[in-house]
Amino acid sequence: MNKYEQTLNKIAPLFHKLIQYFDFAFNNSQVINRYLIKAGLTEIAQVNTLELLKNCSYNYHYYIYFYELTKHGYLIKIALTTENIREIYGFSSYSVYSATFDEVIVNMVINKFSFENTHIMGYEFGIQKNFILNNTYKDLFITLVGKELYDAIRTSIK
Amino acid sequence: MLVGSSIPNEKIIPVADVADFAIELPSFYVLVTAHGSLYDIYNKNGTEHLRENVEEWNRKYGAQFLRELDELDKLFDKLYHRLTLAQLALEQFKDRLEYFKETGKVLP
Repeated sequence: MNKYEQTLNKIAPLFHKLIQYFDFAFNNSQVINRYLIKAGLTEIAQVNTLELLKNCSYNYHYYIYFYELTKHGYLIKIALTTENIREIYGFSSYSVYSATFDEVIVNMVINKFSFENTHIMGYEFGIQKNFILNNTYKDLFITLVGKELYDAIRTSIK
Repeated sequence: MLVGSSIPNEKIIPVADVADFAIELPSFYVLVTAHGSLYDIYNKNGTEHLRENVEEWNRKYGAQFLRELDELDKLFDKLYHRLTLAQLALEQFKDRLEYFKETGKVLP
């Protein structure tokens, strides 16, 4: 087996699992909004389009979205990179920071929660302005995942 | 900064009949199956792709592809433990949401 085949065989299965969660979050966006309201994070749910990672900076970027190829229709595209070479990928700031909830979870963990105390920035279409939410990324993570697992990951992360 | 591949002349050959998703590299989209079999590689700049002309593509872009994949391989290894923890968190997120869908209640 060639080296590139070994690499793809190693990376692709985990990436493919992560894509399943993207699919799930994408198909359940309305449920997630209702969940967040029920959990008390009403500001997040009220934002129409949330650029979820806009108000923070971090080193490792996990990024996933739909990609159209003429011959293949739509495929999901996934990328893992670092801040210093992000521009080589051609990532715009909008494409990087416009995230779904599953992407927020992954980016928080791979960055060892480096931006967990940052307050989330929303965009209110009614007044056409960004605004800072009362909730931090830590609040969001715990609401989505649970305090017990948050503590366990924080303890075991290397 | 990208580093040199240890196997610069390795030939890239597509083997899969279909792609499940694409992995993005700085210069390429790598179309693969869920298990990692290679279907095709598209160049970001332009319309060239591996299956169109394997020999020509390898000659022009093979070494660059290997360098970029090598860089991703190193990053993946560095973050592997965290990625598996993230997967645990995502599974929990999914479970909590399914519970909410069934009961209308949010787990503490």
